[in-house]
Amino acid sequence: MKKHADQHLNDDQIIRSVIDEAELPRHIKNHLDRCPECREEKIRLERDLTALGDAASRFVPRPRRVVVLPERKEKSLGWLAGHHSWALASGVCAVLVVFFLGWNLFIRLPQGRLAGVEEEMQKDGQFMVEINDLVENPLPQVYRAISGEGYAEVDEDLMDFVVPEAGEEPGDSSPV
Amino acid sequence: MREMTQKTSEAETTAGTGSQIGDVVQRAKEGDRAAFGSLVSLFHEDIFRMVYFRTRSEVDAEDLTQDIFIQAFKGVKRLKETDRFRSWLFSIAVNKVRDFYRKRRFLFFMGTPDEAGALQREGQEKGTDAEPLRNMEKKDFWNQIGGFLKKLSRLEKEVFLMRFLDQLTLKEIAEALGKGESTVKTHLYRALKKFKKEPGIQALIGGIQ
Repeated sequence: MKKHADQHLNDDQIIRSVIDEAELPRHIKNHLDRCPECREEKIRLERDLTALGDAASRFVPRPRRVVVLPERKEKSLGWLAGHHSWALASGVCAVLVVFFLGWNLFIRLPQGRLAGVEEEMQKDGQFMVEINDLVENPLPQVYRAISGEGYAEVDEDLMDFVVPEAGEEPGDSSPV
Repeated sequence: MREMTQKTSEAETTAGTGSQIGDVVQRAKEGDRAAFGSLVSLFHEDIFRMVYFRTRSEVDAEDLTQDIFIQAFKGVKRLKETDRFRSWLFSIAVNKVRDFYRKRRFLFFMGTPDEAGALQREGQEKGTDAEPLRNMEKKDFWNQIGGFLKKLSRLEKEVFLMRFLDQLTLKEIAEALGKGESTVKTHLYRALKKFKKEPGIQALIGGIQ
């Protein structure tokens, strides 16, 4: 330990002491505090750097131009100033785009296109009728014939004859 | 280093103490134009000098200083820590100078007349000094410094200039460059090693002392 403390600082340690003396290891710092030669070496390097900085400042002209700051924006915009104004502008643009698209599609639609729309509506109507038929009679015509559903009305008359409705007496027939 | 620290503190006294500057920055943040004007007065010379050290052109330094303060004026509202105003201002300046050189390199590559004009302008500026001896001395000084700085890496150069010419503290340099203090110290150490070994710069210092 004593040997360390007696050694003079090398170039690297002198540079490190100039950069940040507080970060030097304790034994180096102790030596630097006690050794006038090392202290002088450090001060010489600092003096050189200070002289360089001073000379550089001496060889710089003084600024001639005054800094001109830009005018602030009018406060009348209130909360719209800054980012809000961008959001508002974007919103307005979006509304305008939607409005013009709608106008072109529905108001200024050419007559040919209007007829096409009507035809489409008719087709849709027919399609709905077919769907309703299928809901009532899901089987195709051929299968309906096999199952007897095609003679539904006859069957109903027969069933009325075979099984009269409740409340009708067997001898109770209406006068002709 | 004691002299250097003393110099920094003197500059701070001239400009006002840290907390006073913080108050002014706070007012500037709230939209007080006059407060920002005071900040411009406080730091105008520092920033002009900083830009001149890097461009060595009076006209470019004037233009860039104006741009730096305009950007600071527009962005001061977003500054979170008012006591970091100085390092924040220097970070804007560092980026502006970098952009300036990037643009210049691009123009040089494209061979536009603007670049040629800029180079010519720089040459003419050096010859406008009224005192020929001082002008020679100045030219020689900047040539020597320029020769030494060319031997440093980009970050070594920036850290060296900020510490010993702009006289920023290690903390301010770290904040301005967005690096850690240990990184700053490492680059400063490398730059100083080269500085000690540079015979030209040693002779120059011997001449100016």
